[in-house]
Parts: sequence; structure tokens; C-alpha cells
Amino acid sequence: MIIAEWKPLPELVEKLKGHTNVLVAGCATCVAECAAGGEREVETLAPLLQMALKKEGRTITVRTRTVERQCEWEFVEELAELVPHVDAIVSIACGIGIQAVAERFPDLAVYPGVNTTALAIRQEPGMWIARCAACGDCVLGETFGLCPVARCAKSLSNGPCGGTRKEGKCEVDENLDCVWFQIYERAKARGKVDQLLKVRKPKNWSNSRHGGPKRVVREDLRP
Amino acid sequence: MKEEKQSGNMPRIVVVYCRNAVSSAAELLEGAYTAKGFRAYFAALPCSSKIEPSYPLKILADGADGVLVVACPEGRCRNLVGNVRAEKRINYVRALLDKARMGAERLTLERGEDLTEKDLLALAQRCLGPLKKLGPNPMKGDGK
Repeated sequence: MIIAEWKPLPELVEKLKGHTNVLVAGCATCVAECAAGGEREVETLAPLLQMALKKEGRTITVRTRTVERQCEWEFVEELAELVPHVDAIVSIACGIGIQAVAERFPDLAVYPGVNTTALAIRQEPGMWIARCAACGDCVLGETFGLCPVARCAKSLSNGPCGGTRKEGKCEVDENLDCVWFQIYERAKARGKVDQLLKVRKPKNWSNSRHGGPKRVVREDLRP
Repeated sequence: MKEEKQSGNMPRIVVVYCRNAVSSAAELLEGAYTAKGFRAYFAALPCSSKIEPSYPLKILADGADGVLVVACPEGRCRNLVGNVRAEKRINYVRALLDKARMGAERLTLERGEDLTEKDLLALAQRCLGPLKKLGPNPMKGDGK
């Protein structure tokens, strides 16, 4: 899932200067799963913003709406009936949803209420860990299903580096597992350590965001 | 004790309590009560863990001066860890209230069992000191 985290409240309060009718818009998919932008968070942020702004001497009316997916035009359309009543939208969807809302309602100020941070998995309740960097050249087939791009602090293709701690932890963060240690352990368990001796050539980054905004076209699906 | 008429500018405290924390002989308290120096509004939950972060925030945004959540003692939750989860959520919301400069003290957790109406009012009374220091809720008058 795409994960996100709330922006600091003072930043939002500052952004809403001059606005009196605000829509807090959530998304019931990824950001709901990571407890940042679903209906619960929308209903939490709305009264919090009202109170934070009131402490600044500003009174605002806040409306709320959570759509199924802010990254799908059909669902974004559900916000249209509220738009005539507001002068700003705070979207707590991921960056894709926020941009979809801004594109659909270009005359309105649309502010991000979250920072979109990673593609992650819920490791355990209340903990999400990055698993994919959307690099555009997947190597999981060579690394025993563990991604060194997203999960190695240095994104090494040929790891581990010299900094792995004795307990198999990363030198950058003692709470972080060294993914190359994990790759080795998984290879050993499968009797295929020799596969790791092969030097992996530089990745093809042209299919990543370094080659400009990614665009996928499937003619068979186009109208 | 139940009173219908308005009670001026007295602090308003909303008491959200776990129905398992009150005496089985006691009637479930609902609605508004006037006590010495404050008004209390009671609402029962099947378990304190049912409280969502948005509940106390909406109550405060509607102008209540304080919210008191009453849970069962630790280790005595009928749903095992419901009251522990409630405490974590309340601490989370208290941190949010501080960030909004509203004051974490506007939300309080108390624990107890076999509580009577009088006990609940006494717990609410204990919130008054910190609330008086914070002053009236600035949202008062904006609420519905």
C-alpha cells in the first residue's frame, strides 16, 4: 500500500489562513489502511483543525467526505457536490489523490494534509515498513524476494556493505534488519548461496522516475 | 439531580464511561446532570475501547470544556485489553490536543469499578481543577 503521515498541524493551520469553509477529504483505500487518511482520520483531523484555528482566533466551518479512492475520477466526482460550499480542500489521500482532486477542481485551493512517504506493508499492528521503491526494474527474482532497493539503506545491488551489525542489523539504524543479511539467510536456507556470488550489473534506472514522469500506455485498454 | 434548565457558564464535562465499570445495581446514566460547580453529560459505551480519537475531539469542538473517559481497572477488562487500548488512544488524542494548543488536560482517563452515579460525578469533579487553569473552551458558542 501507499503510506503517508499527517503533516504537522501548525503547517496546515498556516496554509488555511484566509479560508473559512474547508473540506477535509479522505481516501478509503491505502491511506486508510495506514491510518493516515481514511474516514477515521478525516473525522479526527476536522475537529482538530477547527480547534487549532480557533486558538488563532479564526473560525472555520469544516465539512468532511471520504471517498473510496481519490485516485479514480469516478470517486473524485463525489466531492463535486461539496465544492460550491467550500473555499479550500485539505486532502489526506496520497499524493496521487491530492493531485486528482486539484486537477478536477482547478479553481479551488487544494492542500496536502499528509506527506506521502513509501510503498509499504503493515508489518504488525501500528507498524508499516517500506517494501518497494517503484524503481521500474524489479530484481526480486535475483534477491530471493527481498528488495535491496527499498530495504537497504544504501540501495545496494551487491550487498551487504561492510557495516552490517553482528545481529544482522543495519549500521544506519539498529532497529532495521540488514536486508542483505536476510537475502543471504534465505539463499542459504534454499542451498543457493552460490547465486549471490554473481555480480549484479547496474540497474536500468531509465524505467524509474529518473527518466521523467512514468507513463504506461495499453492500447488494448484505450477507448 | 437530573436537571433540564440551562446552567449558565458552568464548565461542561462529558463523561464517557464503560458500562462494565458501573455498579450493576446502578441505572445506566444518560443525559445531563448538574453538580456543584459544573454540568456533566453522561454517555455509556459497551467498552472503553469503543472510543475513537474523533469522539472526544468532536465533543470538544462542540464546546464542552472537558471529556472524562471512565474505564475499568487494568487487567479487569471484560474484553481483555479494551481498556489498555482506550488508554493508548486517549494518550494519542491528548498529544493532538497539545499540538492544537487546546491543552491535553481537556481529556482525562480515570479507572474504577462498581461505580455509582455519585462516584462518576466525583471523578468528573476532579477534572475541574485542571480545566479551570485552562479556562473556558474557546469553541464554546461555536458548537451546535
